[in-house]
Order: sequence, then C-alpha cells, then structure tokens
Amino acid sequence: MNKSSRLVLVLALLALLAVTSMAQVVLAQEATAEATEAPTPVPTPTFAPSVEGTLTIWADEERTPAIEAAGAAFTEEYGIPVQIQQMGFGDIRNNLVLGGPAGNGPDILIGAHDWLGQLYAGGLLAPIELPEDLAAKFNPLALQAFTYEGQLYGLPYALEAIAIFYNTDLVETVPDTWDETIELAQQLVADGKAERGIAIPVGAGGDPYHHYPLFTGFGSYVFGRDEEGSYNPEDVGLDNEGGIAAMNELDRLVKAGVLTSATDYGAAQTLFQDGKLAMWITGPWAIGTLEESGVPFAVAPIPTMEDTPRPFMGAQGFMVNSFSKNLLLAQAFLTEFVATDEVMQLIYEANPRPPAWLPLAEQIDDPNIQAFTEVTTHADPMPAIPQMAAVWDAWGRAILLVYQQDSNTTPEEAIKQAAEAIREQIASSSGS
Amino acid sequence: MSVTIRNQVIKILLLGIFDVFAVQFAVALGSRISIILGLGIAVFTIVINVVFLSDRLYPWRWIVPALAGMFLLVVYPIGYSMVVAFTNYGDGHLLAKEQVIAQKLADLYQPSDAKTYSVTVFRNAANEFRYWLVDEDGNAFIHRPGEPGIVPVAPDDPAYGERDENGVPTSLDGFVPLERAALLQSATTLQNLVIEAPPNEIRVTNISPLRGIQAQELTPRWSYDPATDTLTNVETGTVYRSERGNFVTGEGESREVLQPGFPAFIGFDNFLRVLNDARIRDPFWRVFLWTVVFAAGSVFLTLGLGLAFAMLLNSRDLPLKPFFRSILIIPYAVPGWLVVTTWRGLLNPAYGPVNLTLENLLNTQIDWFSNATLVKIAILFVNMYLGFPYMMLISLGALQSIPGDMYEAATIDGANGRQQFRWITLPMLLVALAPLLVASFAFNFNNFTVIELFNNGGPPMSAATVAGHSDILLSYTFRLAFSGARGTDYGFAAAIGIFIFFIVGPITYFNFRLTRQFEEAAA
Amino acid sequence: MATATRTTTRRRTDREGMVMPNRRRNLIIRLVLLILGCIFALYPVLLILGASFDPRDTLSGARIIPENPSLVNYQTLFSGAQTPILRWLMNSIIVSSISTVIVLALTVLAAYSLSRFRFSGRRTTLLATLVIQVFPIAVSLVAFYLLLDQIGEIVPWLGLNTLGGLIILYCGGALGANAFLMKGYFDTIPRDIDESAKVDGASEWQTFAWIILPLIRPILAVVGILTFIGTFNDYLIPRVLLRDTQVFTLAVGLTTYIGNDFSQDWGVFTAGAIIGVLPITIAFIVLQTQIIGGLAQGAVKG
Repeated sequence: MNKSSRLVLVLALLALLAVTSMAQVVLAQEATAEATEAPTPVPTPTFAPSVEGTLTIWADEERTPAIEAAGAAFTEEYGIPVQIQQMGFGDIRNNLVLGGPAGNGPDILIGAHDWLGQLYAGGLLAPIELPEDLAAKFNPLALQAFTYEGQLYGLPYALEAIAIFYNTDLVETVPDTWDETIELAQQLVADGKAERGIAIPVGAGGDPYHHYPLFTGFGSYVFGRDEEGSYNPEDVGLDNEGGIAAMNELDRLVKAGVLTSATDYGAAQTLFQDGKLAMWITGPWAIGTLEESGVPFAVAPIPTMEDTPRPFMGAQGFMVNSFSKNLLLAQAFLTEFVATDEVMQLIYEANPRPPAWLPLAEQIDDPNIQAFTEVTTHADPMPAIPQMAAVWDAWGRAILLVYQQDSNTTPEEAIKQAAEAIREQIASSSGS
Repeated sequence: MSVTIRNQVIKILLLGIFDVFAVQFAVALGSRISIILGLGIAVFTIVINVVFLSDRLYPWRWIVPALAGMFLLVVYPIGYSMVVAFTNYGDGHLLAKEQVIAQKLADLYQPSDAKTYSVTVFRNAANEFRYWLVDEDGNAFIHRPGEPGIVPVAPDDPAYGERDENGVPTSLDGFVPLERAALLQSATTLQNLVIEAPPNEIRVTNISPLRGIQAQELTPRWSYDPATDTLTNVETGTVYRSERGNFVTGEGESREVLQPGFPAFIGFDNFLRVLNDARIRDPFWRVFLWTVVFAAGSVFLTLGLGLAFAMLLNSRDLPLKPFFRSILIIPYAVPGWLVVTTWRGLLNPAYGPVNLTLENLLNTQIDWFSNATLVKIAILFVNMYLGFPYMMLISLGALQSIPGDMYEAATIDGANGRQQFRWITLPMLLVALAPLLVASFAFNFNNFTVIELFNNGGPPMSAATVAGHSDILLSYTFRLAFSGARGTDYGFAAAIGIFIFFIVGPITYFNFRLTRQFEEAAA
Repeated sequence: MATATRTTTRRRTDREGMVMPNRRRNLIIRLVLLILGCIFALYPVLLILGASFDPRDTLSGARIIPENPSLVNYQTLFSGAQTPILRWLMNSIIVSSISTVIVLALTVLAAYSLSRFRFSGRRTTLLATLVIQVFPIAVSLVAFYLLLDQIGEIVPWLGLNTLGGLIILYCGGALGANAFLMKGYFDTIPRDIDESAKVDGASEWQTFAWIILPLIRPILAVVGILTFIGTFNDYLIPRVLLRDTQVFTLAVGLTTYIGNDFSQDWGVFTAGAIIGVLPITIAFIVLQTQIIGGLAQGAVKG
C-alpha cells in the first residue's frame, strides 16, 4: 500500500470523526435541553431507584418476605408498584451513603435506629410526620429511639435487647441475683450437667454490646444524658467506679473459669443448641435457630447485680431517603399502610421480635417475645450519635484484655486507658 | 501485495468504526457528565489511532487494548482517590455543596400565624385537577391550577350545587372527587402542587386515604446568598458561613455546626494526620515489621507448599493425577473469607476440633487468639491454606516450561534428584515466578480481609492502642478511617491508601529489580 | 520436531530402566504425601459441606456429618422468591466467563508483545502494571462506583447495577500478575519457532495465532482458571455496584444471609457456597486436559 492512498484513508477517517463528533455535540446539547424540559425519567426495566409513582424499598434478607407480602397488598389496594431490593443488613446503610447523594437510593429503607446519627449528618433522611393518634399506638421508647434533633426519622416496627436464654432441662428458673446465677452456673458444671454454665458472646472485637449489661449492672454508662434524655458525647462514663467494678467482676469470672473467650457467638450457639450450655446471654435474633434445634429453652432478664442491668435497646424501623422522588407517597405508605395491625402482624410473623406496635405487642402470647418485650422497657437506647463509632473499638479491646488475662494491664487500667482513648478521639474529631 | 492493501483497508475501517463509537462516547461523557473523563477517553482514542497507524509503534498495538482498560479502570480511580485525599469526604460530608444548599432551601416551615387546610381533590376525565380547601375555621377556598392562589367560597354559595355533610360539593366545575384508591396514584401531582399564598405558599404535607389530604401554608426556613456564601435562617435570623465543608455560626463555645455538611478541600490535613496522629505513629514500626513478615512469610509458605504439591504431581506415572489436582485446587475455589471463618472455628481454644486434637497430643490448651505469637503463626498457617493452590497452579504451569532435555543432560552428568531440583528446577522456576511472587507479596501486604476476619487484628497491644498484635498497616489505619469518632472518613482512607502506595510501591520496585537480575542471570 | 520427540521418548525409557527399583518406593511416598495433602485441603471444606446440611445454622460448631442432617438450607435457598439462586449462579458464570475470555485475550496479546519485541517503554510498562496493583482496592471502591455511575449515563448496559459494568471493571485489571505469568511462558518458547515460521512467509499475527498460541494452551488454562475463580468469588466490588436482586452474583447474593451482626444464616450461606464451588471445580476438571496436554507438548518444545 503506497503512502498517498494511505493518506487518503487517514484523511477520510478524520473527516468521519469530525462529522460524528459535531453531530454528537449537537445531539448532546439537544439531549440536555430535553432533559431540562421533561424531567420525568422513564422507568428502566432493570434498575429503578426512586422513580416517581413507584416505591422502592431496601430490606434485608429476614424482612424481605414480609415486606414483599405487604408491598403486594399495597399494590393491590392502591395500584402503586412496590419494588423490594434485598441486600445485607449492613449494606443497606453503606449503599445509601454511597448511592443516595447520586440519586441511586431507594424511597424507603429498613434499618436500625443507631444509624440515625450518621445518616442525619449525611443529609440522607427525610423526617416522618406521624399523626398523634397513630403515635400513641407505638412504643414510646421506639419512637424516642428514632427521634433525632427533635424530629422523627423512622417508623419503628420492632425492638430488641438482650436477656438470658436458659435451657429449661438444666435450669428451672434464673435466680434473682447475678451472684446466685454465677453460683448456679458453677454448680451445673461441677455436677457435670453442663459443659458450660453461662456464656456471654466474645468475638474478636471483644463484643462490648453483649457486655454492656455487666457495666450498667454495676453503675457504669457509655455517655451521660442531659435532661431531655439526649446523649452527651463529652461525658464518657465507662471508667467510673461502676465501670471498674464491672471490669473486676469480669476478671473474677474469667479467673474462676466461668466465662471464657472461647465462647464466641457461633460456639455459644452450638453449645446451647446441643444442650451443653445452660445459660446464654443474647438477643431475640437467636430464637428462630434455637426453636429449630429443638432444645427446650426460656428467656429471663439478666439478674440484678448492684443495680438492675440495663442492656442496649435497639429499634428497627422504616426510614425515608431524603432524595426520594416520592416523599409524600413514602410517608403515606408508612403511616397509612405499614402502621396497621395487619402489616405489623405480617412483619412480626416473618421475623418475631418484640413489636413496637402496641396493639400487636399486647396480643402476643409467645412467652419468649413477652420476656424480651419486658426487657426492652428497662434498656438504654443504643446511642445514635456519630461519636458512638469511636467507643466500640477501644471498649472491646479493654474487655479482651481481661479475657486474655493480660499481665501488663489490670482490668482497671484497661478500662481507664480505653475511656481516655475514646475521649481523645471524640475531642479530636469535634472540630470537623 | 494485494493482501497487504486489503489488510490495511480492513484495519483502517475497523479503526474508523472504533473511532466513531469512542468519539461519541467521549463527547457524550465530556459534555454531559465529566469533562475529565471525556478528555481522558478522547486522549486514548488518539493514542490508539496513532499506535495503529504508526509502524514504529507496532509493539504497542498488542498492549494498548489492555493498557486502555487499565488506565480507565485502575489509574483513573487511583487519581480520583488522590483528589479525595485532599478533602474531608466521608460521613457528615457526603452531599455536594449545591445539594446541601438545595436541601436547605427546600426546607419549609409553618409560621405561627399560617393556616392548615384539609383538601378535597377533584379530577376530570382529562386528568386535570381542582382543589377544595377548608381551613381550621371551616372557611372554604378553591384552587384551580393555572390560576394564582386560592379563591374564598361563601359557606352557602349556591353556585357549587349540592354539598355533603362537611360542606364539600359533590362535584366542582364538572370534576368529581378523587376516589380513595386513586389518591395515592396522584401523589406525584400533589407533591408538586404549589399554591401561592403570599408571603407563604401552600403545599400538600400529608396524603392519607383515611384521614384525607392536609395542606399547610409554609415558607422557606433558609435563604442563601451566593455573594457572601452564607445561609440565613429566616426564622431566627442567624447567619451561617461556609467553613471547611460545613455551614457554621459563632466561635469557640458558641460555635454551631449545621448538618449536613459537604466535602471541602482541606489541603494536606489528611496526610498530616497520618504523620502526626499518635495512634498511627506509635505502633507504626512494630506493625510495619509484622506486615513485612506476614507478606513475605505468606509468599514463602504458599510457594513452599504449592511447589511441593506441584513437584509431587509433576510425575509421569502417578495414578489419579487429575483427581489429586482437582482436590488440591478446592481450597482456592471456596470463598476465602468463608474459609477463614471456618478455620477460626476449627482453632477455637476450647471447642475447635483441630485444637482438641492438638490438646490431646500436647496435653495443653493452645489459645491461638489471645497470644501475640500464636495468633501470628495461626494467621500465616491459614493464609498458607488459602494461597497454596494458587502457587501450585502457577508452579505446575512453570514446571512444564522447563525444557526436558535440561534434566536429561543433568541425569547423564550424574546429578541426583535433589541436585536437579536445586540447580535446575528452582532457578528456572524463580525466573518464571519471581514477578508473581512480587505481586503476591504486594497483595498480602494489603490483605486485610484475612487479618480482620481471623482475629480483628487482635489480640490488642493495650486498651489505648488501635493496632493489635496481628494488625497489618492497612487494617489498623483503615480501622481509624472507617470507625473513628466521625464514622467513615473516605478522605482519610484515601490518604492512607496513598501512603501505603508509597511504602509498597518502592518495595515492589526493588523486588522487581531483583527479578531482573534473576532474568539476566538465567539468560 | 518430530524427530526430537522420538529421541526424547527413547532416552526417557532408558532412564526409567536404569532407576526402576527406586521408582515404586518413590511413587508410594508421593501417593502418601498427596493423600495427606488432600485431607488437609478437604477437611475445612468438608466441614463447610457438613454445615450446609446442618439445620443449626452454625459454622464454628460444624461437623462433617451433622447430627440431624437435613436439606432445609438447600430448600430455603431454592424456594425464596427473593433468592433466585440459579439466576445468581448464572450471573456469576456469565460475568466470570466473559471476563475470563476478555482478560485472556488482552493479557495474551500484551504478554506476547512484551516477550517478543524489544521497544522503549517495555520495562516501564512491566513495572507499572506491577506497581499499580499495590493500591488498595478498598480505597478505590468509591471511585469505581462513581465511574460506573457516570459511564452508565451514556451507555446504560455498562453502568451501575449491570453485569456489563462489572465485567469491564474486571477487564480493566487484566494487566496484572497474569501478564507476567504469560510473558514468562512466552519467554520459554524458543524464538527459532517463530523465526522459521516467518521465513515461511507468515506475518507476525499469523505466527502468533497459528504457531505460538497453540503452544501456550497450558498457561492459558492456568490463567483462565485463576481469573475465573478470582472473579467468581469476588464480592467486594460487586457488592458495591449491584443493587437489584436479579443481577446479583452468587457471592453477593449469599452475603445477604450473613449481613446481620449476630443472627447469621450460615446454613443457607454454606449451602450456596457449596453450589458455587461446583462450577469452578467442573471448569477446572475440564481445563485440566489442557494442562495435561501441555505436559505432552513439553517434549516438542525441548
């Protein structure tokens, strides 16, 4: 091929390019012009985040079946398509943080109340207006949990807190006091009836969540509260006298072999299912698998230490994405449809947890759920303020050091160091 | 010669077709979405054209397709992260500034004297609407879209015909009331309805098939002044200035920050934080040492075991060879973190089957998760389990590339098996595998999934130190970036990523130089 | 070349004759070691298999043969309307197969050039592909998201929440360690082979496509299976990009079962993981013949 014919071809190519690019610029401008004139997006078949006139809901695997049934009923009644997208519980939050601002969020998401701080500060939630007569039908604790800066950001459907699951073959009733309970646990092991008497789950991160009742039982707290009940991030109470007492108690129990870091959540669950563990401190999420395993069990509140132990209370509920194109519709879906006996019942059946809907809570005769409902009434709402993120890590490390019987640090030093680290971290981030 | 011409024509035609699409894509992207991305694609289109038209750049024709992908999908994200590293993007600073302002401007409130209405919606066959509003005192009004504001109606005005018990007409201008079931389908229309009622505007605030429709006189709470870049709360008169990604007011104790914030450029703060933060600095060298040991140890162990299996399999008369090979690849086929979690269960000090066996043998309980040394051994072991099939596979491939006559010559010279391995197999393999070992080292340097899942970086060094005994650089710095007191801090995470890049990059470069020496020695 | 094969074979036979008494003992040692290796490799996997038949939803307490084995986890997996597991599996296979084919094509071309040509920028390219992989992926996730969001505005089938978008992301990472693996293999193929082809009038492309490519089938198989497994099991990237249950890959779909802090459904998850291991194992067994084929060809190369 000679040079000139090649040159001709290259020139032709360039000309073609010039024409197409110019056409493209013109088309692009027209397209943007059209886009501003007609903002109604066409629903695409595959992916339709918050499309006008359609509700998109993000739910986790446990809630999806119930929400799906509710959504179908809603579509049936009002002719509004409802699309459910299932994702991992934690992914719901992460995906909203990433996709919400770009317009890829849902209309409604299902989540936990302790996400509020993060999502509120991100500008990702729209407030929910709840008429007073409806508000009266909700557990006030649950509504309080979903209230942030004076406004409601979530419609709760369930509450949860931890208590003691006990094997009724091994334990008749859980004693009234913690000391008696520990003695019972030791007795059961000594008699060879159980491999372990009592277990608190300890993960690789220490699992402060499951150890919180021990701290409150001795008079400690995470954040102090003001008159209105809001948490004050500048008042960290983990290393007060109660906190030190709790750490010493933990130390005593580990030394006595009553508690061990070998019982992480999975190990404790298996032991309990196999009848080798007499008492297990955890929450209502375990009910399902325990029932399936056939082990006879009942639920009791964690017995009194120096004070009545208060576990963390978590509320689950529906939140509305502030970038939803259907704010009114989402609001109506929640207040007119979800907040009804039928739908609350549906959600409860799919995933039995203490309901936040009082008419339903009164009807429930499942003794385990009743016990958990009782526990939630004297629980502390898990702090939803963003500073809580700084607490888990350091606190968990202090707990782990006790389990490991670290020779360099006494339990008291551990919790003091942890609390100091938490204070420092909160102080250093308050500027930004 | 005619074949060459035909090939040239085909090439240029193909190039032309590619160009048409590429240019369309670049222009559309550049004009509508992102100028940088559009320019990037345009530059690449030119590069590809030049490479395919120039004879001198012939060798690049083979590489450019892969390079193009790499630039768009690897280099561009790295560049993006480098920009993010100079911002405070993360929790509390997620929305763009315009979005924050828009959100504030859309925030309406009801002034104390403003009215609330209950609304009845009327619709005709052409899907046009009329609104009948009744305020708290029972006064009725009509709003007709297209006409400004609301028009009062006398309670007994006969012009509106028959009324129901609430005084609402049964039909209006020939429009009929919207039936309940259809109410929600009109939600979008109702949401977009704005009725002028100076100084306020009337907006629908609630639609309920049971309670009816509620509308309120509302007014914007915020005003924004672009000249001074300030937001003013109309209700209280407080002025908020823009400062490091937030609108704030007051100083010192009375400083008040408005949520949400937006990402703002904060200069080198994130980088300075990596350098100055005592929680990063104090454990740095300890963690760095373990990171290198972990990465190098993982490469060494996986290669050792993988190569051993490859050698065992690389025999002509071995029966069931395909079977063994398939079984040995299975640990690699199972998702890695499922395997890590399983091993955690197997090594549980009191209940793990592996640990119980060890306990019987050694007569002592081994707590793999609480002891700084044991946890490191356990992690290396688990990582060896995860990685040996990879090394086995690539060793199998590389073993086959060693020319058979080298062994034959060695056999004739009287070399035994061990000598053959030492002087032929190993050097030849290392030449072929060295770059992969470098890559594997770099991968493990950042392999925080295994570290996090196995023991969360623990056991802790102390309650105050963020880094645990088994933490690698990436895992403990990410813990600061993703679960600090601010929640997730992408800007900080990006800065950490860049630091790590500048730590591992030179190591990789150095290792790579070593591989070159291998190559030259072998050549 | 045919002559070379024959002589090699003859020499091998001679050698085997010489060392025959040691051979059997050697073989038995090899077999014992391999069986031990298989036990080591399989033990955790068998526990995972056991967990998938265990109704107790446990991983840490899993047994190889559960006390009350049941199919309940598999039933859950195949019955949920929101868990179209076969769809997920198909998505995974689609993404991994297409990615593997494209990655192989891109890598083999680049590796050929890096091995056969000497040009300025060659070593820099090699170095750059290695160093760039060092940047932690977790940091780039946000950028991946935005990138696909932007591309998707123009080409919807390459955007967020599409398999196409996922595939191009995987293809972008093609030029990594794999390119070295292939380049190393190319290097071992004597240049006389291509030169004799070129003397016969073959163009560069013809030499590559008809002479060299068939010779490197074993390494194609190895890189192919590595890429397939890597993309098949990846969940970090797709979890961020895919939203719609219908476009989930298996790895993403299954992680929804263990997304909760405590009540993780290990039973269903392990059942799904076992189903996911099958196609990989099958793909490997199929590709094995290639690797074995490579063994026979080793003689030709020598």
